[in-house]
Amino acid sequence: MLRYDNYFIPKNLDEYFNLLTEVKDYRIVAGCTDVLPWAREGRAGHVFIKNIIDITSIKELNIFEIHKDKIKISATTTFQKLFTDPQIRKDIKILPQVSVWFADDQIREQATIGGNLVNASPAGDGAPAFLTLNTEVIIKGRKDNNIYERKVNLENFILGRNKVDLHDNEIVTALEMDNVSGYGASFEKVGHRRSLVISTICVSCVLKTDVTGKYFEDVRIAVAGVREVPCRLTKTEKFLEGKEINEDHILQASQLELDVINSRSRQEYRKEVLQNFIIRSIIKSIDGKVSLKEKYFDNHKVSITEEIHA
Amino acid sequence: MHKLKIDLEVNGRKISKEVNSHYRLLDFLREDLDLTGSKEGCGAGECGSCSVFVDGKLVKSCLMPVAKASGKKIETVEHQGTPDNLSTLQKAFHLTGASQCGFCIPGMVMAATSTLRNNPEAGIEEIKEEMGGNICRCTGYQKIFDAVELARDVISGKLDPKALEEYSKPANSYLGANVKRIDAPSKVTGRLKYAADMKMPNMLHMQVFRSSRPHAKIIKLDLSKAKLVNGVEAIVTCDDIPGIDNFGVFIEDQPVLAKGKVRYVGEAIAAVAADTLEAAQEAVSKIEIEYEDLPALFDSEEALKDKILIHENYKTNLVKHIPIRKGNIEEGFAKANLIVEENFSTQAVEHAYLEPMAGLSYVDSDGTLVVISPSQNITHHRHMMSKIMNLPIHKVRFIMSPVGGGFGGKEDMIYQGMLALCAVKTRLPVRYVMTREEDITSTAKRHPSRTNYKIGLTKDGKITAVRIKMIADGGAYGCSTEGVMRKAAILGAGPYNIENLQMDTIGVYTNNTPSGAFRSFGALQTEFATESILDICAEKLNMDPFELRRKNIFVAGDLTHTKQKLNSASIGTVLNELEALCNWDKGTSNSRGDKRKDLNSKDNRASCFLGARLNTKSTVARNVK
Amino acid sequence: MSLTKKRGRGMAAAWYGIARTAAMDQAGAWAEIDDGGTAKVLTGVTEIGEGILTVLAQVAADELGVKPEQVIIGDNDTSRSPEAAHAGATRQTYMIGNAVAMACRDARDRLFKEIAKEWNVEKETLQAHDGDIWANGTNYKMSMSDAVKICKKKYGVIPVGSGNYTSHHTGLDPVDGSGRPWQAYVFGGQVAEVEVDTATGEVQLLGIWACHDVGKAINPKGVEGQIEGGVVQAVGQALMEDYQQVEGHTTTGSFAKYILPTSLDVPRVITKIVEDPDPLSPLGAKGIGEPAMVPTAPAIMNAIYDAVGIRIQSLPATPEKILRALDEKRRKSNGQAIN
Repeated sequence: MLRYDNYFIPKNLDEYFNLLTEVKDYRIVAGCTDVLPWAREGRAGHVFIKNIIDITSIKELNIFEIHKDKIKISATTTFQKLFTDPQIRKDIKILPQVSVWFADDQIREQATIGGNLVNASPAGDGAPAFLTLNTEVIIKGRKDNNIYERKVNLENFILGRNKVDLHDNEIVTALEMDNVSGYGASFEKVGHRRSLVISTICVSCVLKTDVTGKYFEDVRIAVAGVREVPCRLTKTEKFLEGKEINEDHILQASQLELDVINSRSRQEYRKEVLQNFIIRSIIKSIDGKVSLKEKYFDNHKVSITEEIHA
Repeated sequence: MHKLKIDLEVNGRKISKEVNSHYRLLDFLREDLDLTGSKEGCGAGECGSCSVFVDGKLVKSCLMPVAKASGKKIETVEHQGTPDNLSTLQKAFHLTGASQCGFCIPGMVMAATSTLRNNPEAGIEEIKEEMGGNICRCTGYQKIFDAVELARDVISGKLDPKALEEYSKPANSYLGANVKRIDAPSKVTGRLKYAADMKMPNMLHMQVFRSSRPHAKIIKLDLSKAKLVNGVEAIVTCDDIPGIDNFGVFIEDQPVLAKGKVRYVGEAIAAVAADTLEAAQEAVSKIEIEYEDLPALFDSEEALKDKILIHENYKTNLVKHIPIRKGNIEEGFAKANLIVEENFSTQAVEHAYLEPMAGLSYVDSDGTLVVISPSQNITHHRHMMSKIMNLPIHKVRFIMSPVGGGFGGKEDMIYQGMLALCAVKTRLPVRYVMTREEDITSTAKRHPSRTNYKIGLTKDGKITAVRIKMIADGGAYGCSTEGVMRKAAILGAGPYNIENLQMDTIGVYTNNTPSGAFRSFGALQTEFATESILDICAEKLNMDPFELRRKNIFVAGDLTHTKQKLNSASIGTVLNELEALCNWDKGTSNSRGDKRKDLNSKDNRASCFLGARLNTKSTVARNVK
Repeated sequence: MSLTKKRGRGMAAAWYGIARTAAMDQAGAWAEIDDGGTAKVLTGVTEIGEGILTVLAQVAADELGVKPEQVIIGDNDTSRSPEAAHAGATRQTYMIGNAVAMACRDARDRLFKEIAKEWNVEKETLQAHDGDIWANGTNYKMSMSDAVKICKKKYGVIPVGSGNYTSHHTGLDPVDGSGRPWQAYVFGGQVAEVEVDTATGEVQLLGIWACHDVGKAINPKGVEGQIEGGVVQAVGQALMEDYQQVEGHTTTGSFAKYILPTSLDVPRVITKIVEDPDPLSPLGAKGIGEPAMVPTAPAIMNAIYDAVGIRIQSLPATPEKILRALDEKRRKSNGQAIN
């Protein structure tokens, strides 16, 4: 159980930063959907923290801006909002897909995207999608009574398992990401069931074809669950950009970065699924613009298997 | 304990209260407002039995610190309807038979209410998705979905409200009638009190100190610091047992609290009764123990060697061996054209009833010891308790509280002994509620099994000989191992007339979590092997699997494996009906797959693609308050 | 490497024994026909969700001639209700259903004796159903409510009754296991249809057709509910549940790690009830609770084999196991060595 004496809900950044200087032994929470299951037998056990500081009512975090090139949304945006907001559904198609695979509706009403990223779980679903959107993490801090702001690319924000580039006196206020309106997207995930799924591996793909629809123009693919931190498959992306959309190129692309796998367990499984997910997500993101035969990939089993088990 | 003041609205009532600051919204509703319809099935957001509306959004109240709810409007299941005035959804749940044990049902009613509020035209895929956060262990969800669809159609006017009342009934009998469940109204409204919902004046809270070692002697148990915790009324150990300290379903080999040694991680060693749950937990954390680790056994085959004994006085780790011998298997195999030998294994399985174990105990005004718990066998529990507490049997009273799922997992008297001990020692009512984690790790599981199977058949598919050997890990205590081995042996070779049979089922002690009773009790494990190997044989013999069964199934007059004459055997009829029911495409078990003609029936569900709400127009217009 | 999803079907048969294994089984009950033509039944019934309370109300209603909604069943309490033993072994409908039937017949007999006197007819001509009592071959008819009033006030007889049901089982011979462990047996079978995603190894169970002999279905919806629930429990064991320990320590100690089937994982279950009544008991009903889940896991494994040609002989059939088996099969067919 999580035990604490005081639960603070600051209403603005000043109140928040004041609290940080006033109280000792505190923990910052947002949706609480990670911290409460964590403080239980078998994980952290009984945990006593004197003070809890809840950031979900800080008014400066009330951000939701959709611009032509970028969108900027609050760190305390819930995962459910990524699913229900009509503009996000229309323009940033990867996000509602991530959302529907994330826990369940009820947890999504509380769980925040900022909380998820700061938690930096290697299997976390949020990060790969945000990586494919070239997300920048906007951080605010206070030093000598002055509130400052800094931006960190998400790739550099996540430092390792449960470790992020965030200092004790700072708070993630918002995420700023590309407005990928017009891009196709697909999120692939597998676990052991179809709801409340803890991911074994997940892949996020966001891509744009050229005006003819026959060539890859901008390809972004990210994966989580294969190593300590989620990452973009930049070699794969560079290989595809500019190339003709056909089965052979997609197949080659899917095999380029399998050495990214460095998980603690079940490496063989993740490697095979990663390949399949790269192919599947690309096909789905093309969204029928070019007709591709799934059978082609099935028929090329032999060479792939040799590759993996060499 | 620190308090904080919250102001909020619950079910239309304005509430202003001081609450324990660390409470979750769920604790506040259940403990401070006695709104026990919302349940704690897991406390970690995984089961949905705690679902409530907060400002119109359905959330899991076990994941919401109470302070977060301040200033908000809360709506619980109690607000949806009363047993005599059910909401349309609740009436639908009642009619379709959607509630079985009822523990998940308040959460399901809330999830269903939320689904239809969000989209009054929700189709089945959308309904399933929105209810994907609520687990049910009893119903298989089907009748819950039926209820939501029925309610949807009545609310939208597509169906007459009469559709919620009438059930089918044969002309002159109530046998064969789909009478609506009499316990459903109290369950769908969240009014029924399970053990953890019950409160008594001056009630103490019990918590248990459990072993962290699989096999160890207890050298020293120091309760001194624990006793000093403010609010502690009693701490009990095996030394406090007044009578004969053992219990068990078949053999009474388990002490109420560990005696001198522990045999599995999670075994109870001491129990604390204190005036608050927090004080009891604190006291448990202050108990100090010194173990002397003993070599431990985790593998059944290793345990059978008896090099290390888990129960020294039994001189062996064999719990029970059930043999069945019929005919002569050497002759049988000699007659066979095809002999197949394979190995199968099944894993340990957790019952996962949604209601974690809980109970209350007190001493009555006339000195009767009373235990209220969701026990599956209060008759046997009373026998054992009277012997353990050294009380005449009529001075021990077991009352069954509503059971939120059992499946065999609530047959062992795994906590009632220590609960009663605390009640007797303190002369106050004592309540114990297991956390989900405690329940999973310390109570009995389904026996994991390893089966070696050899079968011989003629080329026409007639079984000539079967040899089965199943070894099951019984864990640290006997529980129902004997019975499970027996049932596995008697039924294992399947509903087939087999002249030559050698069956051996062997249950063994290890230092794993005890294995006990679990729905289908050993038969599942052995019949799994039988039905799998018959499929292998069907392929090798180039026969349709139904045909292979028909060549061997019992008919009236046949002798079973235990040589009992069957006066009737409906398996022939069952197979015929089954084949017709699913429109089975006859053919061999040679992975026909897509070549089959009976696939993609309209009876199936659609493959789940998780996006029912991403594509429909109605969900874009989804109205979230 | 594969992207396609493949479907297949498999079947399995099963059988089960009803009530306590290889030992005598017994259950007792008390019944009273009460004011207003209602009824009270007291027995050691353990409702764990299977629906036994409703079944007993139906049995009582049928025997006594009242409506099931008018039957009050007392709480299970060792100091207040007669012994009916435990909830388990698929025994309650059989043992307690029959005991309640016997108790109700006893109570009804008491009432009928007085009403026969009242109407001056033979007791055997009397019949009661759904709140009314009448004498066949005559015009005599009255409500059960009136009948109870007359029985009690005019004749001074409270229509109470008691009953017991015994199932005669024998133990097993210690050497060859011979014996009669049960009186009644049930038989069943299921067909499973699965879809295997060869890209991830995920198995989705799309349909289960289940056919089970229950003797007599007292509440058919209740029987379906047991089958649907049992099937889904078996699906959990077949595909995703796995209680694991390492050196005696549980690694799956929460619902986050111990994976249960959710609403999105369950098949549509189509049920056909077969009735082969038990000739040795008053009601003919047998049971369904446990038999419902015996054929499911092998039917699913057989269906997976049909779909993709690999056989999982060690439960659960997780996505990892499926992909590994598919990989081994592929390499075997390519003549490659397997690590």
